[in-house]
Amino acid sequence: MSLCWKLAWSYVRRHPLRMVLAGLAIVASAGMVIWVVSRYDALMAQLAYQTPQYLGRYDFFLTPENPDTGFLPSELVEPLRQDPDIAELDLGLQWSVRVLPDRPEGFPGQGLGGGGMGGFGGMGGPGFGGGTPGGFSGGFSGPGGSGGVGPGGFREPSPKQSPTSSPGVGPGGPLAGGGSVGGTGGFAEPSAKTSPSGGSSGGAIGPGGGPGGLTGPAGPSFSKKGPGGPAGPGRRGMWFGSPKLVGVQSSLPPYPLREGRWIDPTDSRARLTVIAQPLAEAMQLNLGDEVLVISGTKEYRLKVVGILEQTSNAPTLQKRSPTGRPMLSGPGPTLGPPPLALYVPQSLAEKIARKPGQVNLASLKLREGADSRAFRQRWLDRLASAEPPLLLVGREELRSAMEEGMWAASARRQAWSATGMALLAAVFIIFTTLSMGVTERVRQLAVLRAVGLSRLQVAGIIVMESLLLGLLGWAGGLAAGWGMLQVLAWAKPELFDGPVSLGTWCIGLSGASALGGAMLAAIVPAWQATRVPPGEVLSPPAARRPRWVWLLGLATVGLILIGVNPLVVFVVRLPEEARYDIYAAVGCTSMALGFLALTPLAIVLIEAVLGPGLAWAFRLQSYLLRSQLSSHLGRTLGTTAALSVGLGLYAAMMVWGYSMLEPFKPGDWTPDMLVAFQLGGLPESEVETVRHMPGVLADQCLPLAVEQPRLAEDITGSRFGTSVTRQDNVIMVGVEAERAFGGPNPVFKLQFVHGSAEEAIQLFQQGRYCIVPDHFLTATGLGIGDRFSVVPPTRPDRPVEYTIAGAVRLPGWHWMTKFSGLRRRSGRAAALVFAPYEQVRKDFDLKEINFFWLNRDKQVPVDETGKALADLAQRYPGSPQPVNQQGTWAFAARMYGSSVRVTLPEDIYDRLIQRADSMIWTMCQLPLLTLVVSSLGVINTVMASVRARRWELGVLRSVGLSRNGLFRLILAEGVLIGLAACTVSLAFGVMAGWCGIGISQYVSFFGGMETPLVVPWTKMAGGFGLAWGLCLAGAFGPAIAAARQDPLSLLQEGRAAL
Amino acid sequence: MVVPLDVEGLTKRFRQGQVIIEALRQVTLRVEQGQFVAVMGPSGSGKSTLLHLLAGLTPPDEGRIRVEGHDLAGLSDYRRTLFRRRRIGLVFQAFNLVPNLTAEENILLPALADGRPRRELTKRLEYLLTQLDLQDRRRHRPDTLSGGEQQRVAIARALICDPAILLADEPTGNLDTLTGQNLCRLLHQLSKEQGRTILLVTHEPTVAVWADRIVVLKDGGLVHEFASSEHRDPQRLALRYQQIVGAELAAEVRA
Repeated sequence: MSLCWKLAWSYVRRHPLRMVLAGLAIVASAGMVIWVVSRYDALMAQLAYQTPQYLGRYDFFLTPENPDTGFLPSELVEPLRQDPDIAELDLGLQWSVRVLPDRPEGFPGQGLGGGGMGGFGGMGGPGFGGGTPGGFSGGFSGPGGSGGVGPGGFREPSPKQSPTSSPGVGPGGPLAGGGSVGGTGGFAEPSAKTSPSGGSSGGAIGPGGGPGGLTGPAGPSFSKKGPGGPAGPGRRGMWFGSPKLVGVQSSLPPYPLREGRWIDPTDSRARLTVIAQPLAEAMQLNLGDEVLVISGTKEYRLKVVGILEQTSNAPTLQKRSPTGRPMLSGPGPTLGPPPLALYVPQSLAEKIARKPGQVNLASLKLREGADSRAFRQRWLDRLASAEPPLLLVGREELRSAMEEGMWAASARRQAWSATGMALLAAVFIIFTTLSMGVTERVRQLAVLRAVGLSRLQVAGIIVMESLLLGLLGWAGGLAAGWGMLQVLAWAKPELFDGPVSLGTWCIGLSGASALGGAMLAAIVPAWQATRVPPGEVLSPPAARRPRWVWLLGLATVGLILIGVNPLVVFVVRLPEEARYDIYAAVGCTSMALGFLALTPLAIVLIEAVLGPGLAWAFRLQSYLLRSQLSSHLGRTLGTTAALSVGLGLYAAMMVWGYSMLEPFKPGDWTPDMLVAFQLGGLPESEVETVRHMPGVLADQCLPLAVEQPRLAEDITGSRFGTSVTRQDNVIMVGVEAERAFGGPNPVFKLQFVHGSAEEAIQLFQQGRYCIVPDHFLTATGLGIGDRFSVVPPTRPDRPVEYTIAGAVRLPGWHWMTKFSGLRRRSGRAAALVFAPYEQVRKDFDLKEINFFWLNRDKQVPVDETGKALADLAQRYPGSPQPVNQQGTWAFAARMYGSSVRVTLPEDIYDRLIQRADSMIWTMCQLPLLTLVVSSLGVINTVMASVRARRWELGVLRSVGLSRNGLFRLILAEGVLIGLAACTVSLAFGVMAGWCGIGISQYVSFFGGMETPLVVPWTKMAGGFGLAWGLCLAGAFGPAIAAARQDPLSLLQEGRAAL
Repeated sequence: MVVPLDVEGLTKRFRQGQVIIEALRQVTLRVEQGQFVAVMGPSGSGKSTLLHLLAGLTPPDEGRIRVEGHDLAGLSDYRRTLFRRRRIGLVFQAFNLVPNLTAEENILLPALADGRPRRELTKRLEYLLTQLDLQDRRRHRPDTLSGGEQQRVAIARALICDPAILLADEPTGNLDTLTGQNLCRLLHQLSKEQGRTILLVTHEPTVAVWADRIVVLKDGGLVHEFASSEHRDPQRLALRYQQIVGAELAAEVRA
């Protein structure tokens, strides 16, 4: 071994530049891992102190699995209290309420929360069918974290909580499932199973998003005012999450008081409350402020007397289907007190919630010295088997939930993604370096074999060189990563809680990528070295051209391997829960190997096909570029593969991202303006008034009857996992069929995939017929003529049945309805269903008109129409209409007055595209960074190529090739390598993106839509241009060095090498 | 006493496209202990192929090669490597020193590959450095040594493990005349004073004249052997060689 080490070291010393370049690339890739993984390390470190923070004074929380509907059985309370280990048992009720700041400028619709009038749900709103009507779980909304999926909880991420918690800082991003493309209010992807290349990146496209743990808002990308339109009075910045009233019995606060004092738990008449810090920040409340708490139809005014130092990082209970989709439409219940809490005496909470004597949150404090493990063991089974089942949540459970929470999971996925990419880049960079070394040292290796070194010893030399590169890369990466963090800590100290250090995951994963890559990379070159026969010492080395039979054979194998993934995704019938695992383990792996096997042929063909054109462009003789790449296929393959790791993934992200976005972009079917009257409503007589308003095309203006009823049966299969097409409710939109679909100029320009407009109009006249989106048929398995039942919120005991008259394409309906107010009961819906206007009004008891969909005269400014609508609305004031809270966000639509909410498709489109671009760009950062790192390998490759051809170049110079010509020749070779990498990467990206779209249909929350394959050529051009440019830049140095040498020295050096 | 080299019926074929070439055909040769044998022949006669086979760099198609009684043909690649390392010394025309190592390190290479500790080799190393007049050059890398010095390092490398036989392939090919003659004198001394068995391939009569015995190959076959003592003068040796090779040619023409 020492001899091998000695020979390896001597070779390294002889070729320092090559080793430095390769080492730099490994340093960069290891540094990249550290940059990304440091976030995870920081997160894990935070969890260590956040867990006790969340517990506060207590040791355990006890809560039903669904506190919205379940309560602690009274027969368990006394035995718990009697337990010898219990020092305190504080019983409380937590209940979703709607909260408004009680200020003169405040106005309904701008507060927080659900569960209010009309019973729309936030978290903990009453379940449907009980209590206040219409309480669906409210679909917790949080914008996806573009680079900012950090542990920020329900607010803008605390900068201290993660070094990469804000966009633009580090390449963290939502790469592994953090982000959702889909504009503001997009969600973090709940499942990692949406990436085109098997779990390495996530990102979800579409509006609304994952439930699941915690989502951190992206923060800076939001503006606090809505686009256009006069901002209504008292507007607050947007917030996400649902406030909860928490009843308390203890005279001590659960968390330290930040300001003010605690309440007297026995005095419910004082109408005082202590609020949690996240809520205070969200609503900009201070001590002494008053809030209106609305529950059902009643309002309670409470005065804030204290603010608690409560963490925003509250883990939630999250259940997933076997395919990885969430079981709930919104995030699960918190495992303890919610972050947006208002603490009141228990008796007051019971009164406000109208739940006398009910408890759904117990806080347990053990006595000093008690064994918490023993306590847990004693009670766990008994509590779990209670009716309803109860969760005993202590430090371990909280820690585990936090670690499985979305931020941690997202950070962990990103960490693994970064490691995987860095590992692959390292493998190919080191492989190329070693392979070049073996090729150049054939004679030397033969001498070593001739004088008596065994094959194993010769292989050992290569392995030692590789190990040296890996170690240098790892050490350098650690130093570089640590240095970057230090610089960041100096520049932005607010991002860090304490001194910067490299955590276990940083060190481990960076080591895995550097050393693991080194070992894997050494396999083939070491084997190549053992194949050098000792007899080679007595004959000069000959340049070997690849044999076509090998190339074609390898390419055939490659094509077969590539074909496996589409088969797994699109063809083979597999159980849904196994499909993703097979896709990731078998499909993606075989696809990657397949492209690797195809690459040699691709290189040869590109050289043959594009070489002449490139030679012409560089003003060279074509024969000069004829075999530069193919005669040294090993190093070209290694460099192309290294570049393709980043570039291929970049292309895959682009294809997948923009394809997944497509079904959510508002389509041509959408009329110009959707109007919601959110306070009160208009009588039938005012329809004509609206039709004749400035900017409204009279014959293109439809009043709508809108309700969001629950489906009577689970026809979409949402019980087995929710998605954008699998929910327990639909949005029914009653329209006048003739005006809506008929004639030469219908309001809705629908594309029917089943049935026709004429048939639908006829059937609508007969009664309960409807038009559904095409994906609804796919999700439910229903067809034209089939029926489904919905449950009117006002008459839950009398479901009504509708027959499907037609199916249409409705791209973008999610986004058109999300912020418009059309979603009256829940943040999610399975479909937008058109039905007869009068029938819907009758079935769902809709007396007033609250919605219009119209086309407008584009000559008239929108604001003019809006103002006219606002004036009309003022004549008909009334109660706030039921609406999901996203339909109240000021920034998300144009508000005119306090009632009129206007949604324009172009606004939606702009926001969506802007957000999508931002999200996808963030997802692509890591692959592009990998590309940049890999491009260092290009320099090595071109240098080696020049060195191998010195004699030939000397001859060319001797017979008349100018220095400039030689310079251009070397540059052209670099460009040719770039072209090879671009071609392979593009093919990989399209295939991976296509398969990623396919698998998303099964496992992603945003799957289920008809998703076309979109190749965003112009958007991808940037990345490919970068690759090309890097290759050109990489060839620059060697080209200059070669051009500067005089012919004689080239000849002499070349001859000496021979 | 075991004969250092005993070759019988050695044959080696190569494929060139569709054609099979017999590079060596039924060559039988025996080299006694302490003999210095030169192998001569025109280009393409099979000299280098013979050396490849004797060094165990490639296996024969037919025949037997015994070095110190060990049949090389029957050994696996690994065993042949070990044997070559320990019992055969190789000297090449192009020196073939490892450029990254010093002269001393190049010399020690086969012994270190055998796992022998450095301290065991110190005495042997010093002896060789002295004998080959390399003491002052021991820490120099090959690119700072003259041709003659490089070749002497190569000879020292070949001798570090005290091999049974020293095989040299055109060792003077890259040297000037004087240096080449000095090298031959050195090899002659090794043979006479140390009893080294040496087999040298050359096409130069001025080199072959230093050997005890000259073996002539032509078209893969051994055509003649004679003692150099019969022709001490290089010119006469050259004439004799030409006669042998020419006679063969004439015989071919007649046939």
